[in-house]
Amino acid sequence: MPLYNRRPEPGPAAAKHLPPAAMPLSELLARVRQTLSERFADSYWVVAEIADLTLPRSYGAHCYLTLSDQHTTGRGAQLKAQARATIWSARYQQLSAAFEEQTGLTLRTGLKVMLRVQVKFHEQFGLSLDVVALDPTYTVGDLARLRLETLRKLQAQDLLERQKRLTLPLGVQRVAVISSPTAAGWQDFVQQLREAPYDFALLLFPATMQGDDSPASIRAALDAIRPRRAEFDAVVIIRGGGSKTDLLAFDDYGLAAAVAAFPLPVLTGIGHERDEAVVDLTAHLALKTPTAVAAFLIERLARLEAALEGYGGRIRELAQARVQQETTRLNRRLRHAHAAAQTQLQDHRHLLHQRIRLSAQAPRAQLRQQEQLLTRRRHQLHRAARTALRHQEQGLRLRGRALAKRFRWLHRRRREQLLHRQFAVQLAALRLLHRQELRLAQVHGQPVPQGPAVRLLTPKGRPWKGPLRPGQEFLLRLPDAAVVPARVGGQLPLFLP
Amino acid sequence: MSPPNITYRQAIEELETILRALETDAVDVDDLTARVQRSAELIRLCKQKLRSAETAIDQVFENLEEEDEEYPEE
Repeated sequence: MPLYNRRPEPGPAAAKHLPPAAMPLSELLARVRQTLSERFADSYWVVAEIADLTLPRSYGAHCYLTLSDQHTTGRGAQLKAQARATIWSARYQQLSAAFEEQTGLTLRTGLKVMLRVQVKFHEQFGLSLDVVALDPTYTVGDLARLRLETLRKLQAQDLLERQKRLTLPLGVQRVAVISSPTAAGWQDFVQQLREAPYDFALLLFPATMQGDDSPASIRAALDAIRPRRAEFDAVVIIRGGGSKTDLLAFDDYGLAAAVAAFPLPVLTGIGHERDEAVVDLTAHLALKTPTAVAAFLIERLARLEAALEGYGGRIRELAQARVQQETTRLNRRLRHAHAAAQTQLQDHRHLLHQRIRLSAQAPRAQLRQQEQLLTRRRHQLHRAARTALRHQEQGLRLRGRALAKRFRWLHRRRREQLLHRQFAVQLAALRLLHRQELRLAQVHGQPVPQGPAVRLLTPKGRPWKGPLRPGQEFLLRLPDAAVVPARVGGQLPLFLP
Repeated sequence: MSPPNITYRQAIEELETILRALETDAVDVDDLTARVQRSAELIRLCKQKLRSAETAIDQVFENLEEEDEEYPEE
């Protein structure tokens, strides 16, 4: 089965067989219908773009389309083929459901479709195609191709990653929302954020989120946000509650590029179930639904709060540990200082005691020394005194002896002198006596009696015999019979008879 | 002491700095109280900011009503 069968050209072929005679239009058209129905009895797969579309107004109504096909000839000329087509009510229900199911799209203008058609001709309404089948896979493929082209173009301009390079603030609280104000998705979004414990400042920039106008409308909203971008942390594009399938606008190149180039991070929640729309790919972050966006924002703040609390807890913990550690250290130092002070005190005390001892010892030693010295001196003194005494005694004795000797000598001498004188006197007296006696005798003529002489006697009164020696004692018997003791002094005889 | 419009990122960075300083024992004990106070202040500011002004969403609804008049339907 050809994918692209040739455009039927029934006109010239029919004309050849026509007779020159005029005939009523109805007959001609009847023949055309006849020929067409015979010649194109089958149904054919054709590929065309939906140029115009009238969806059934009510259940049981039919769907009218205008199909067209842009075609480039071998010479490069653009040819456009166009035909009306109808999907009858019962078949429309079936086909459109299957189409939506597979493509995620409702039938709409601009879509390229592959349909199986039967050629119908009506004398009044002309040529029309009855759509008997619709192959959604072709549309899917075509859309995919388009999408791929869009993506390539975006890629070439580095628009796919540009939003990803933006940094989403840690706490996204000031949010510019692009949505339809009446959409349930928007209401849900607001409701959910309102129920969250966090503060959000939302500002809605209304836009049409469905239909052909929506890319331009959303871009207009973006343009409205751009000059006020300092007021917002991020832009959220949400859509929800509308048709699940009407997402083609979000594959629009212009919109995707505008989102990509937007200076604020753009989050999308455009509610779809098929693959991401192109806008999702160029946005900073794509989430499935508005609710998911709200949940993401809340979760982000919750995480931020948890992180803050985590920091708080950790810092408190560390600080407490630090204080504890410092306290411990301080206490330890205090103990050390105490111990050190005590040790030092002890040391000093020791030292002091030692010094006291030392200082006491020196005087004591000195004292002892002095004592010893004193003792020695006393002894010396004693000795000296005794010696001196002895000397003196000796001297005295010597002197005494000398004195005694001298005295004795003197005495002896005196005595000898006395004796001498005595004897001299006695001698003189004797001589005088003798002379007197002689004279008397002469006078009387009598002889003078032998007078008694001095005789030496021994101490026992016997007459001395033998020589005299110095020191020998003896008695002298004087002539008057008086006896005197005498002693021989010196060598010289004291007495010479 | 801190500007009221400090961003969360700045706050987190400062907290991170304080934390790192504490972890590496680079903080003098005399500084400790100041640092901890500063971190508490930052956290308080941020939490306050997270939960402040209840008016914001109500504002949106006022906005919404105004906008509704302009865009009566989608």
